[in-house]
Amino acid sequence: MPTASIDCSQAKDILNSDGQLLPHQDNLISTPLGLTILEIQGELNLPTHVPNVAITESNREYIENFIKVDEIYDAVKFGRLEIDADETKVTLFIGKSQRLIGNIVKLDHPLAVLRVPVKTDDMTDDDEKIRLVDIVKKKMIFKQRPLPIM
Amino acid sequence: MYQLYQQINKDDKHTYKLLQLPPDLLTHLSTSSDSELLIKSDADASSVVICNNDTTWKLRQMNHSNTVVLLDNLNIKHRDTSLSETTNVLIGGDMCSYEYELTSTKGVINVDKIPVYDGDELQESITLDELSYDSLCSKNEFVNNWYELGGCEIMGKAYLLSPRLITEILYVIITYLISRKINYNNSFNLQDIKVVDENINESMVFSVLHKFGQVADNEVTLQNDKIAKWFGVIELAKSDDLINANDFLINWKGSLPPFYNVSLDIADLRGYYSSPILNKMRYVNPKLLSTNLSTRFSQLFEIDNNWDYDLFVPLIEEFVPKGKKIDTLIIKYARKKKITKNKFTVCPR
Repeated sequence: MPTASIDCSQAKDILNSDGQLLPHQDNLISTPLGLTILEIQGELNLPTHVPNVAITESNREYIENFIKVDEIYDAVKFGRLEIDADETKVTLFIGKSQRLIGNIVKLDHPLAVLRVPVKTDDMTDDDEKIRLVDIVKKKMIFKQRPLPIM
Repeated sequence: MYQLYQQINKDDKHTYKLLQLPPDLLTHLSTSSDSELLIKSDADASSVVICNNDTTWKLRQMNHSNTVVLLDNLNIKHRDTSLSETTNVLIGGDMCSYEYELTSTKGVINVDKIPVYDGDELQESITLDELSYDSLCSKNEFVNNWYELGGCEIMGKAYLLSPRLITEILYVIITYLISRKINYNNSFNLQDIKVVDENINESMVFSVLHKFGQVADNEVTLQNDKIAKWFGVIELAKSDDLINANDFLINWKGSLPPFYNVSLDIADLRGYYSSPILNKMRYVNPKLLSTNLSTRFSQLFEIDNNWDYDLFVPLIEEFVPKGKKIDTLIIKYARKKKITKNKFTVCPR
């Protein structure tokens, strides 16, 4: 029967590092290791590849939304996030026309984030294990319909 | 204010999954130095569990249609980007379309392929390590459940001792203790009874002592009430007919080793008999009853259509879901009738 193991050697440190000081704003939305969960009730439609076109005056703003991460990944800007003064509400601006109102909620059950190696045919038993890399205790959730930006 | 980005091509070597941590697992992770959890599944992967050394949790994939993004906060986690300024930037990586939910469950040993040994020829079997690896069970639960099932390691392979053989070994152990004037009510050293009979393997004695006693630091304390109950059930199972309760008590006493004085109470055998007529009893084999509650109730009412409440409850209580009252279940499938102030019966609807 199939058996796999999860390396949880980091869990104890992660769970006992709550006192670690982060800038206040980061502390509200991220774990001490810098992971944040964002949940939207709906779908996020994003481009699947970087447009292969020359930059012109008309497309400059759109093309500049694309960046390179770690020199190998492409990423696209999809919005900006603002934390309200009462620190439990967040607003997500998507593009120029939509905004979503959401909350920072404490999770009933904290979530372990597992990094799972993708199996390939040439993997052996000695290959990389599944690893618990972080534990998230709160998330940002956007349950409402998008509102127009006035 | 943060700028939000989402990767449009992913790490093809890793994927990220979210696992809910129930309070008991969270406590384990924050206090234990044991840094590994095992994921086990049965042969067809229909059941998946996660285990630490002591506990087993059932794993269920909870799909959802929301967009859940894991984002790296670049104020905390360094990542190279082509941005000139990475302050207040969140970069999304994997999207998670499901979470794994964990619920505490009883560890189960799959003994389907383990041969029953009755003292005759040994059949082909697997090792105890292989069985442990194959079972949806934590390590410590495995050890406890294995002895409870009558499991025994013979010549390096796993076997289940037959009830007949267990009874025989138990009889020999108690007779041996009495003959050596070792008080069976007190704890005694395991070494004292290693060889009780030259025909009985040491590991069989060890297994039976684990099943019917508490073993710690080579000291054994027998659970005499459990032993008496075992002999009672074996005696009860000898007949499918209605038997007189007083006759049964005499037979039960007679089945015990000579000079083994333990108190016998028919009430201890609840869960193994019905009593359709006053002072008469009939053996019920709980292993032959369905694990589906509706079918189990029907089968029980075929045996007797007017059960004493106290005799009925032990035959269904292990199937009562956590947090539910047993009476809620009885009312769902049957009727509970009040006979006197403290006496109830259970009958079909």
